[in-house]
Amino acid sequence: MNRFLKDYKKYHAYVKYASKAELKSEVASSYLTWLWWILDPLFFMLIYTFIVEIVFSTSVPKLPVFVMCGITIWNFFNKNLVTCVKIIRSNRAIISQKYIPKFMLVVEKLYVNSIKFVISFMLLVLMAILFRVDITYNILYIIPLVLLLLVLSFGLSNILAHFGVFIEDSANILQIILRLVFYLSGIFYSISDRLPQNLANVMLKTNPIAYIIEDFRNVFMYGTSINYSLYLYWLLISIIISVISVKLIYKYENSYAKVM
Amino acid sequence: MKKNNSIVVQNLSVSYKSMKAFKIKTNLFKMWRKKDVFWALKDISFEIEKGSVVGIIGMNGSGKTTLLKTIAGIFSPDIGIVDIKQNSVALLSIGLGFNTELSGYENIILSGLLLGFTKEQINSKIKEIIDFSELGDFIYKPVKTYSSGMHSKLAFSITALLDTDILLIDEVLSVGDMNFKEKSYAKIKEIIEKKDKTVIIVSHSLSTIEEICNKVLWINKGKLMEYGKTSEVVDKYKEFMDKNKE
Repeated sequence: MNRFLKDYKKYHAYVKYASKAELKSEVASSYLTWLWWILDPLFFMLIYTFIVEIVFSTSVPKLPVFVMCGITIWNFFNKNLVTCVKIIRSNRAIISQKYIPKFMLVVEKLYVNSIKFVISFMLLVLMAILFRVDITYNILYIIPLVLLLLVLSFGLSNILAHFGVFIEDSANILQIILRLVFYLSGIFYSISDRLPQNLANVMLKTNPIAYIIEDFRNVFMYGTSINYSLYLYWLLISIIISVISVKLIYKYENSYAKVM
Repeated sequence: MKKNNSIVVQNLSVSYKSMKAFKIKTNLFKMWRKKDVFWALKDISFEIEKGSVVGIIGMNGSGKTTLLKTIAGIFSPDIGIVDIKQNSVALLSIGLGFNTELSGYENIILSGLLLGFTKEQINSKIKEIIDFSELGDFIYKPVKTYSSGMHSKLAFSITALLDTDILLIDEVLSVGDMNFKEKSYAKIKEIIEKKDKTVIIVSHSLSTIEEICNKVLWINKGKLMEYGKTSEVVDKYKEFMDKNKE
């Protein structure tokens, strides 16, 4: 734990600069530059809204806001996992020349994706105003929810980064699993409204993203508080995953360079 | 006189374990396909005094690069200890070390930060680094647009001009065109003359080693053969190589 904090401090300047540089180069290399960070969630929101409203002809009040909540959370989680499974390989050049604690590479991605998350969130707030969602003080519960999302993404991304080195097709496996999780997370439907109570409970207890999205909506759109017992349950699990993942990386990181 | 070591290596062994999924392209690995575990370094012990210049010689695949990478902290020892006493260390070798999507300028800062410098320290040196690298306006272009010569020039400039306590040089004394080669050789000599800087050089050029090193470490197939005064060890190495020819 001490070593983790020390390394975190030591390499923080690197991570900060690297994530800024990455965002800058992303902006520089596409025509619409940072507009993509807005257009991307916006278009997916429109697609899912279309599917739910027209194709399935079900209606949820303020559906675009409802869908946008799910997309904002999902995009952050999904992007982190997908990039981190290949992160050691994509940083091969740096890893084979200099030492860096490998979880700091994951932290760098978390920073980059957090910026996009913030933009997506601002878009969400704009939409909420447009659709006259009553925002209450309970919106502050978003802070612990985002914290949970960060810890969870950090831990899972570390573990994926580790296995991504040794198993060449882990990226393909991950794609399939993530697709499944996507449909089970209630991004464009409400788990607790559309599913029988028992099944909904099981899903919220086995899929952290489903839980985060559910409570995020409760807090943001309906002004209720969070489900404390479920929150603590997932926070505890996420912390355990993160601790294990950091230990795993410390133990094996110096053999990553030998593998490549 | 009190002994002032900057690197202590004790009973160091480093192995590469064979796993089928691995794609390993370094030369070192080509020879071990049949075995499960290949020991690149076997039970090596030595001490390097602060401020000395040590050359490492040996045939291809004898573990020279592995030794440098272990000292640099990129590999961890399987057995034994490598102690660099809180010194900062930089490895200079052929090949990359850059994020190719980013500009050379950004890569200078990132490399410096990874070597443990603060941003202020780097900023005070950055102009010198850019001038030395001769890259001009290319420094603001992504590294992926660089030629391999430009690449090496930049790598050399960063490592040579940022002042780490220990400098590890892996066969890069012939970087770039003629002019740059001479310039970089002069720079290396200038670095070596600094009293408190410890330098380890891997080179196949025995004349270079004889010219600049005070001590030489000879490894063969992962084992330490000799460690001592340059002239003595180089003579023994030459003798050994001649014998092997026959």
